[in-house]
Amino acid sequence: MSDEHVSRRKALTGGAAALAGVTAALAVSAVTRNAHADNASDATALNAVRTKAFEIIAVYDTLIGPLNREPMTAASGALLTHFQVQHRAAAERLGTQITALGGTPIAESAVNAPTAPTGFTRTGPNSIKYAANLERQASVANVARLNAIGSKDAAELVAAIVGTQTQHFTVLYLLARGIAGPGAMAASMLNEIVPRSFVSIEAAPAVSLTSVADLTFTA
Amino acid sequence: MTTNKFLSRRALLGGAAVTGSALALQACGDDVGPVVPNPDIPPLNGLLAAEYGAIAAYTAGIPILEMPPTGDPLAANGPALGVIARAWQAQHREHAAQLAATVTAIGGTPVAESSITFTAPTGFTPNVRNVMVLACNAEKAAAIAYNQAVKTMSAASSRYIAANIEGAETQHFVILYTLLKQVVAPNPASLISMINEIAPKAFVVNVGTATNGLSSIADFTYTA
Repeated sequence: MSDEHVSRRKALTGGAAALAGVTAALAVSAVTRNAHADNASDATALNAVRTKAFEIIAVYDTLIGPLNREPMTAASGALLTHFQVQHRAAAERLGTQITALGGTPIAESAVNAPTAPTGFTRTGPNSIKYAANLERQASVANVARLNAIGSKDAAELVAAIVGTQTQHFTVLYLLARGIAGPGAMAASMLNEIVPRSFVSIEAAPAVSLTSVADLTFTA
Repeated sequence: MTTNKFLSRRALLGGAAVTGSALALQACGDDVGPVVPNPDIPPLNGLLAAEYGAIAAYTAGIPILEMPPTGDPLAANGPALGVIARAWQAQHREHAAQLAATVTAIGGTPVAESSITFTAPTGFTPNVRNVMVLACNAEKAAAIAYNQAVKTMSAASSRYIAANIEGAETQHFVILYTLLKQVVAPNPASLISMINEIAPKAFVVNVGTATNGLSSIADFTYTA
């Protein structure tokens, strides 16, 4: 009887331990499954951001050559080249993040330049307008994607890219509307027009606005 | 015997599982722990405080732009910059309203505007250029703060709001920065007539039913 009692107690203790193990394993398994699903979803969202970056790069390729061939529009060509470099930096960093999430970054060769919009003819002003439209559309689409991104690192990167795309848009918008033009220092300091590829990435301060020194006051 | 043992273990596991569930439910019913505040409240309130700080800075700077000191080399640009500063200050107020509403919606208490004061930084003397520098540095810092907040926030909806505002702060920054670096110059012929087109929206994506985002700006059309 006593043995039977001890045996039952052992069985209960052992069963509880087993239960705890099973429960923990199930919990871990569920968390892992959810994490995998979240990572896959985030990788898909980041690939959409990367695709848009490659599309802009491809469009800029079609615009820059003709702009550079004309002295009157060469400055616009240089500006788009500067912005294109920043889009490439964005695409590369997105690729790294997608890989870290277990996804496969879309290849640049798989992305084609969108068809030129209706009414577009290849002139200097039209090229700036086309670029402004693309930058605005990209920033709006990418902010909207943040509602569905679970990873904080991924969200940080997308926000850092959005903040740069709105800078590109702003400069192009001012030029397209004729509100502003190149300044006295434009030719020698072109890279100061949107000076960094990202707003803030904790792991990459050198390419973030965090590495732009505050301007100083004059007496 | 083997069968019984097996059944017994299965019954034990099944019964224990039911017991465990019952205990878990009981714990939920009887032992209601303290309500944990939404972790996004502090970062959102931090951003709200920064917005109030920006509003206060513009309040201090606008009179200097509108009435520059005698001999200020940029005095002629002051009034136009004053109009732009007022428009951007209004955008910061829109950001603050959005942040305050969000803090309230997730159970927090928004920081009060009256608790934020502006102190001019070291080296600041009142002239048009210095007001532009002050605003440029503040807009850059704000954009970075929003981006850093995105990395700390728990809810995707909070991160969305932060990025939606960050994209407006960077527009303010780049305009001031490029002007101060003289890589972009205003066109006097169109500046005044289109002054409201300079960073015309407070957000990237419209908030609610308002048309206050870049999403409400029509694409440019092309000329032949």
